[in-house]
Amino acid sequence: MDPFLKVTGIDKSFGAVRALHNVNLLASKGECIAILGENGAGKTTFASVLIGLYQPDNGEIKLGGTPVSVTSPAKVIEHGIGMIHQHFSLVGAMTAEENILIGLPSTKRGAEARARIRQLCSDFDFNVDFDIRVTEMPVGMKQRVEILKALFRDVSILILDEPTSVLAPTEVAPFLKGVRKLVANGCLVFFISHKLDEIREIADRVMVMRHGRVEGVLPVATTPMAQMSALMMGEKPTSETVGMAKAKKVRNDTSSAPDALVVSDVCLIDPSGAEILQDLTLTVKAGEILGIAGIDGNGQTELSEVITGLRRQTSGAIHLNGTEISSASIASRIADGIGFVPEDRHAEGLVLSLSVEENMAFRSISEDRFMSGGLISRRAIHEIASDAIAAFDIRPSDPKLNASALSGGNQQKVVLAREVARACNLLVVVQPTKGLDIGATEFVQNQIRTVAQSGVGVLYISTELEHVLDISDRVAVMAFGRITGVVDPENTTLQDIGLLMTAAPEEVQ
Amino acid sequence: MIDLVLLGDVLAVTARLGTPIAFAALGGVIAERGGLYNIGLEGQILAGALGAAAGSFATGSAVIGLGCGINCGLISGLLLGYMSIRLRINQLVGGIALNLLLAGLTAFLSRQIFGAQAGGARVNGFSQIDFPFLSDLPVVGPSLFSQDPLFYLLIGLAIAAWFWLMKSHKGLDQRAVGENPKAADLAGVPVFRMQYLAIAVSGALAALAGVHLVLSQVYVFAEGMSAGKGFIALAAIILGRWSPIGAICAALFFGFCDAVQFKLQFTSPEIPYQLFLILPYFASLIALVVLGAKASAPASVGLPYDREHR
Repeated sequence: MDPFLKVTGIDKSFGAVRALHNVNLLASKGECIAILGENGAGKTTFASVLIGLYQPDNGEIKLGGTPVSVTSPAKVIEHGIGMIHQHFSLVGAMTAEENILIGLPSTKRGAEARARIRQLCSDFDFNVDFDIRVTEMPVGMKQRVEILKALFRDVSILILDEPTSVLAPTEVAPFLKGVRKLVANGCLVFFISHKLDEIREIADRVMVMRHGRVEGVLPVATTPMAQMSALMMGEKPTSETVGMAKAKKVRNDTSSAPDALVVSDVCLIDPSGAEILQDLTLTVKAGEILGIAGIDGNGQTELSEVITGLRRQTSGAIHLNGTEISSASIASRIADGIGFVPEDRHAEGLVLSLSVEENMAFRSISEDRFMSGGLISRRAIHEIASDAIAAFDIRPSDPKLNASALSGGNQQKVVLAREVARACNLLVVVQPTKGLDIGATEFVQNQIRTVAQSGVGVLYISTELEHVLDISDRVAVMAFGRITGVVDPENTTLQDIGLLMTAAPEEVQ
Repeated sequence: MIDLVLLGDVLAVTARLGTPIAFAALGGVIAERGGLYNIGLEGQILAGALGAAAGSFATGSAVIGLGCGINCGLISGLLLGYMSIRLRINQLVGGIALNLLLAGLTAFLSRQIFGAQAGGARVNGFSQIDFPFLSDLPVVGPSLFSQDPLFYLLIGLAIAAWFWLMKSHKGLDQRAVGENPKAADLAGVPVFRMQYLAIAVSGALAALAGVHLVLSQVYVFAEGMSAGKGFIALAAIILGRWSPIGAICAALFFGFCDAVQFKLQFTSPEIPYQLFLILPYFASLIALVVLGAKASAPASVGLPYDREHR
């Protein structure tokens, strides 16, 4: 008998970039297959070919023995294939319900459809607000809407692209439980992830990809994690031997260092009257990494925007190296040496239609190093960018390539390379490891450590608790727009932090 | 004390002058809700006007003229759609090119069709429908119940368009295309088909504005007779917040300003009439500044959709 899904010889190129190279796979119903690989290994491209978003250059996809013509996503939905993207595909101006119903035949959009959406929601323990538009939702809720959208379409193949990266720690377990339920019901689930422990927990087999090729499809239960990561990294040494992750963490003693950043009693009230930040006070010393942990949507992003000048606080003061910058313009804060790695690298970090070298230069284009004789020096830009590309191992390594041609992880490296170069007093990073694989995450963490060791204060905001604990000298926990506690990452337990992260407003004084 | 007869009179003229703008604005709303700018409204009004005049001239039937006008609009809409959707030409440039093309083409063809009579060939049109009793109502009677059939067609189409966009399932799909075509595509909406449909209907609606000018107002085709109505319609779209009903109200508001300025020209001959001519445009500017500030367009309008774009 033919296998449920048979993928043969898929090739796909984007211009000169070979994203997929002869990909083959057999899979059956009721199976969970993890797709593991570094950034740019072709995981998302493979998934996009499966769902018909990209047309393969060569190769064939068979479902239940019959070739599937994946000419359009609509066709693929008929075959019961659904995908949850890393970058959500939701219509911001519409509600959850409208988003779920888009594109369905009219017969499936009646009153019972609405009832079924709510039923699914409670079956999977999803907290979704049906009264607000998607733009007003926190990231985690948007993802739940995406998942509901796929579930509502009775998918027999569901592809999850980095599904847990936006979830709060408390939401991960119920989410994985839901996925297992799907698998038990006969669904074939592809689980794209960098998190080996999650793969171990959820997947039956793991498909390891590298440079667009499948390096192996292995049973999870009998394959040691070390072997998976070795396959994924190829010739490169594994994280063990890179020596940074497992090496004894060097915590900087910065107790006597001067204050780099002092935020005192900052309040932020948005136009609707909601208190986003409430009397928030924190200090980052020079050379210190202060981690901000917390569940997504508790004011972390807004805090970073207030410090970098993208938003003006309602009240309170901000000092950089003892000078008040509470009402300084963004430009003067940049000139004062504040570097900023924003959460959304597509919208805020990069101009996707400019080349990599232009992206690296444009924030500081008027600096002498990019100028010659009062004009922009293309050569200087090219050279500085080429050096950064080499230093940060950005691939593909052509500085003239548009930023949009790079994978997410490499785009993040471009932003980081630019901001690290310019941050001489303070570096604010928000979710720097979002969607990055293990190798890239370690690389990013190392760069941030190096910056701190050179005496720059670092504010490290992330919802990935392990990363925060790993890198920070001190960790402040945020909930409901306040700092609910500051802990020493060496002497704390996950339970303690979990309590602080979920502290209800009335319990926080 | 307001003169009720005068007011009724102004409102009747408002309906007549506002109808072409309203047709074009409705067409613009349909296109923009599908993610496409239709800057070619002005040219499409001319296409509809010429089609209507030629059809009625050749057959003597206003209804056939109406059909010819609509077809000219559909074709010009599909041409714009091909440029915007398939060729992914900048939609502002494509629309302006279409306006220039149609302005020249209609002038040329009108001379070919009407020959020596060009500019003076009267054609059969629609006459106004008087509803018994209702048309005699004070103030609203002449404006609402004593209009030509196209005015009632406009009201019907506006309600249909509102129902389609806001209440029907396919309308939800179309709005999704205008907001986020990739999301719509992934949800199984045939994005390109939807956009071609929207731009074709948009062209047909704009053409109806021209049909109204010829078959209900002046009964002749004149070069450049659209006289900027397609551009005022673009303002009406924004003022009406991309809602079919809103756009029609905005268009009628511009029609009202126009009607008032005509009245003022007659009642105050000592003031240079050019000052009054400014009024509708001045009003549209003020209305946009005051009311249009917070308007938000469909998020993806004007951005060509490319499925494999990374």
